[in-house]
Amino acid sequence: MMMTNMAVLDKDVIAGLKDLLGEGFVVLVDRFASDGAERFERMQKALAANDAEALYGEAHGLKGSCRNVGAMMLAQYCQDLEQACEDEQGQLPQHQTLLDQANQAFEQVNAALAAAR
Amino acid sequence: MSVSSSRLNDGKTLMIEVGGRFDASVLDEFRECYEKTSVKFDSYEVNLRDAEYLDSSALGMLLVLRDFAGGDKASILISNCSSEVKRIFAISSFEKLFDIQ
Amino acid sequence: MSICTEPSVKTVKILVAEDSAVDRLILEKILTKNGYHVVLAADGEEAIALFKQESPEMVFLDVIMPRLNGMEAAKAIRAHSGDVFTPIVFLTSLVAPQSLAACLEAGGDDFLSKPYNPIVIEAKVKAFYRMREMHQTMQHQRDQIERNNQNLIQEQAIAKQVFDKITDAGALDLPVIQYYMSALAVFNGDVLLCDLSPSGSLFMLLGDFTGHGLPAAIGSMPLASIFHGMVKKGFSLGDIIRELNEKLYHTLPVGLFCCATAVDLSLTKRRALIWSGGLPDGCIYHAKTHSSVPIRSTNLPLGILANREFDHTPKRYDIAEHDRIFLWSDGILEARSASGEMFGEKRLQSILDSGLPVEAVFDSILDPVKRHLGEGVGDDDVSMVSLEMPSAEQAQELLSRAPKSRGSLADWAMELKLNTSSLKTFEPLQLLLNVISEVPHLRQSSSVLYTVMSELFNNAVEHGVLDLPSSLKSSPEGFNEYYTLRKERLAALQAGWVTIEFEHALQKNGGLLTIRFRDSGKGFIQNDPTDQNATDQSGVAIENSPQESKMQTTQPIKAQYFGRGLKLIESLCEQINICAPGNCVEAVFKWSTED
Repeated sequence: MMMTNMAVLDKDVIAGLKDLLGEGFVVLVDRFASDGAERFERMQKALAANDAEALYGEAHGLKGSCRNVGAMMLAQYCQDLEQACEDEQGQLPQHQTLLDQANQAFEQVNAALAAAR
Repeated sequence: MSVSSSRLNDGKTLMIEVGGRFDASVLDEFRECYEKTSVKFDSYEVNLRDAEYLDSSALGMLLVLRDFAGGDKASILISNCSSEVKRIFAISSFEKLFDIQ
Repeated sequence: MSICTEPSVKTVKILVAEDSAVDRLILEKILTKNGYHVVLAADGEEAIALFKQESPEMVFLDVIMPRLNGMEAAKAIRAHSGDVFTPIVFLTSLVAPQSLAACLEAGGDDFLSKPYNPIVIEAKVKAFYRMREMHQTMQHQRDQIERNNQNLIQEQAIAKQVFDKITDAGALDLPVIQYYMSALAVFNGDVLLCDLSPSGSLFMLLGDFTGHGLPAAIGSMPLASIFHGMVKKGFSLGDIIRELNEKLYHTLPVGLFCCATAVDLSLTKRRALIWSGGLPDGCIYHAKTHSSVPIRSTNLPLGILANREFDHTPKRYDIAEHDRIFLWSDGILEARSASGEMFGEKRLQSILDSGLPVEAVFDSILDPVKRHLGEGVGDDDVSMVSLEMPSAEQAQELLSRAPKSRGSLADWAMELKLNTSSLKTFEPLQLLLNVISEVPHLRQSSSVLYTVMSELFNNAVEHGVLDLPSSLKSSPEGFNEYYTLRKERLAALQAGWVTIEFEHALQKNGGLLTIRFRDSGKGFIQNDPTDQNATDQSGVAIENSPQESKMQTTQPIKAQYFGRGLKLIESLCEQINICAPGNCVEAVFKWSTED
């Protein structure tokens, strides 16, 4: 799947959030980073344990947050992970590459967010 | 509730209404109704709709009114009599002297 | 929690349950920025706990959460909020239509997709707040109606208790009576009263007040208490009807009146006196011929006319052993079937015309009426009663239960002496009339008795005590002078008295009242008691006597202004006695229960 033509962060969304949160935008950046890091940890475990439900829940949760912060590329990775959980139950470990790509995108979003604060 | 009078629509009849007891206690009021008027009436109506009791002094008063109104030529209607009152008029043969209804 | 008032939307408390810290933060900010009070939960279980603790007005639930997901939490919250409407909005990044539908089926009222749009959120919160307000107003009104209804039922129960106490005093359990009254009929103002009279009659009244519900039923209370009170004292049917009419005329508001039929069934005389005003025709069903005679209403209902214009005279019907009097309210004719068709007069008449034995008639009417109404329609507004003329033995048994005439004046005498000062100031006729009216049957003659007593009293005062000659009254001027003189002499009176004596005794089927007036005057019979001149001068002459009235046909009527008093008394009373020397006159008034 090609993600290259998608921006890491939607600038309009970030502007909106800054406007909404003001000083609180810093908190949002921190929460996104820590909440996301925890989710990736749990996703890695679920993938290894072949736990589709757990992986789906985490990917779905992260997807929602991504949409809210305008991280549409990462949201797309999350949705791909959800898809993987639904389509190929029992063979989750083969999607390790997808999870790694998502993790990379997550780091990019964190960097972009940190830059935006 | 005692005696009151009013001119009927035709302007020629005086109506006297007597309520409660019709006896000597209302003699003056009754008399004033027809005596103290400047108009000469052709006929009279004594309305007893609200009269509960009467005695023979009332009969006397009615006869005095009849004399005042021209005796045998008088035109006097006694209206709204209850059955008891009619009976008393009948005993005294008043229906020959008055128009009783 | 506020109900029905209009609190600022901004005081609304909203629970947000969301496991993603970022989304939680954004939603919290959006809501607090709009002034709402926000409570935050990170999973389903925490959401339920906070809901119980904080009682928020609205809930936002993420669908997928650790520990307990949003759909499960929604069910628990719904169960806990009971009657109170709490909008639940699911937060979701789901897009599949089935998933969104599943949210609503799980008890959600709406869903909100990520990313959040502040304008959409504010609009939704406002819409749900209005819905919640509407819902609460509705519930408040529903509760109010429920409370009002409860009050009404309670009031009706109390009214029925009072009502039952009054009517239970009656004699509806007598074997000659058969009746049916539905509860609804009682509350729609139907009333059935029955009592035995010391006169040896059974009295019964079936009434139907206009209107419905409590106002209609309340009129039956004065009706019942007057009926029982007067029947027990032995008053006649006419007297009772007159009194009931008077009472209802004065107490009931315009438009509320009572259709009624009242019966006085004599247990000894084989006749019934019946007064009927406004009820549908009842009937007397003859046991021998198996045929019926209608009892027609010929009067206006009770409470419409003033007593002056009101005819309280009952009609007399002959009635044989085992004949039955049937009465019913219009509920029987107007009984509607499920399809709305009325039972109607024709059906009723055909039953009466079918030659049934008398004892079968009651059920032969009631059963078809009930069948016509059908099951469970719930508007059975039917009152019906039959009263049987008992056999001689049965009648005897019933008579033994009748009250003795204790509550009223029967054999009695009284004397009232008015001395000088009383004569000057006190006019005793109304007092005397009140005493006499305590005797049943004399009450209906109060107008006649007034005239009699007024004559006797004025004779005693004017010709006795004041020694006024009635010859004065031979001219209009004299007539007035006479009464002027009366006032003057009374005011100047030094010594004088009048005594009034009543003696009352019961006779078979009636009674005798002797009214005697004595005065302190010297009387008018000096020498020869038959001397007409003497009586003429005294003013108590009996003029226009039958012999004299013959002359009136040949001579012009010379109407005297006086001299009618004693003739009136003579005509109105059984007897008049003038005792020498003429200062004592007694009149004997006879009353009878014979019809």
